[in-house]
Amino acid sequence: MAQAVAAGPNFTTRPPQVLNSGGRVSIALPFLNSGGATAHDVKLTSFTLGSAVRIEPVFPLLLGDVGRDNATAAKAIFSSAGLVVGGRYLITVRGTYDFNGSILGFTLNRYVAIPTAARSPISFLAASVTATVNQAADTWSYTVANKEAVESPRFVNAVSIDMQASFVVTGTPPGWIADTDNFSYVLWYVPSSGAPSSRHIAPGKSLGGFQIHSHAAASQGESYTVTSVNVQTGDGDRVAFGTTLGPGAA
Amino acid sequence: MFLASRGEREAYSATAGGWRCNAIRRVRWIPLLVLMLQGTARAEPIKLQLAAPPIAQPGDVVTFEGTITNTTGVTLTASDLFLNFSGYDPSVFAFTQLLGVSDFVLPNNTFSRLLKLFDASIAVGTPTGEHAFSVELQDTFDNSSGVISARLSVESARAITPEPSSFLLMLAGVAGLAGRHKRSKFAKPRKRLD
Repeated sequence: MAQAVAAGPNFTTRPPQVLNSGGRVSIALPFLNSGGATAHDVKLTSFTLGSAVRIEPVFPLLLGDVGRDNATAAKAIFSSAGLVVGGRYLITVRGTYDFNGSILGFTLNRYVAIPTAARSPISFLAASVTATVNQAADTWSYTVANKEAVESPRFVNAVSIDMQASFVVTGTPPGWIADTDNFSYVLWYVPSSGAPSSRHIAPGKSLGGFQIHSHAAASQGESYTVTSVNVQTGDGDRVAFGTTLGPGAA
Repeated sequence: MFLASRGEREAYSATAGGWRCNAIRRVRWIPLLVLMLQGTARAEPIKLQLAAPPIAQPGDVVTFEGTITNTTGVTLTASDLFLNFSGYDPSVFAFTQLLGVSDFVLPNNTFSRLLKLFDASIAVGTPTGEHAFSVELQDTFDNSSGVISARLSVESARAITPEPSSFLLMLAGVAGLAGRHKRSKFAKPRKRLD
């Protein structure tokens, strides 16, 4: 067993940041390329925290190139159900990278202690975007869910999804408008109007019909943003962030 | 590296004012101190030694064992230690850290007993031959063992030796009994020794 500095990429973790808030445990695990070469197309394929249920993100998730002595971070959100405050749990991050044309794997481990639950400094909109991929038809269909309590004044008025492959918009719900550059983003929104209408997604409701078409060979995690309007004030309100599947490289 | 005797070193460490002894000794120690620091920078404060793994077959889960040496200056516990893997074919290997499943304490300047470190799951359909991976031991204080290059030999699944059928076994048994009966029938009676 030879012991040396890696000629190729090698990943070393740094102390993770852990936040326990609102029934969720958010973890950011920084990792450094301590090897001797750039890791191209670093892609995360899984992130586990003991046996906790992962809420975000959707994998695979492309992080891009990580040069020698450069760092990036793997982030995930888990349900805090079943986790004990003060307990130590093993986090495991798995992924792949391209080195000299070969796809190689990496696995990073680190124990973390679950901190006492804290009140989140920022309140987010309770909303999500789920994708249904039809590989035969090369389509990605999205459903946006407003998970606010039914008495909430926050109605969803827009959803934006990052993309990393060329695509066209093939589905937009009635009353919504699509805005896109056909490569890096798609934004669906309800045209501005005074009071929220039936076109907005009311609390407790969901809306499908958002669809794109792409010849990309595979799916990968993409970031989304969902915004809301407050029916009581007529102003923009809380925002939700997350990841969903979009077209990507194989 | 140490030119001073062990007794001298112990005397220096035992007395707080040891460095104020005399100018000649101080001059003799300064280059030594530089060498010591350089050596410390290069030496890994935690050391990982892997035991030789068995030859694996596709579909196997191979448990890697090894020992850990702690010279970090502090006591380490099982959950202070993490393993990182890289440079492997993800269609061949999947690694699972076992270190920390069982708790242990590793005081400074000691080494562990043989520990179960990690499992390597070998994918079904893995081609025969040697498959490489790199492993690195890290601790909570960001000390590292350095990257260790390892290889695992994968052989094709052993040919299963077909079990003789019950019928053949029975035939063999009957033939054996018949032969024994024949020998005993035609054998000359042995002389009694008494």
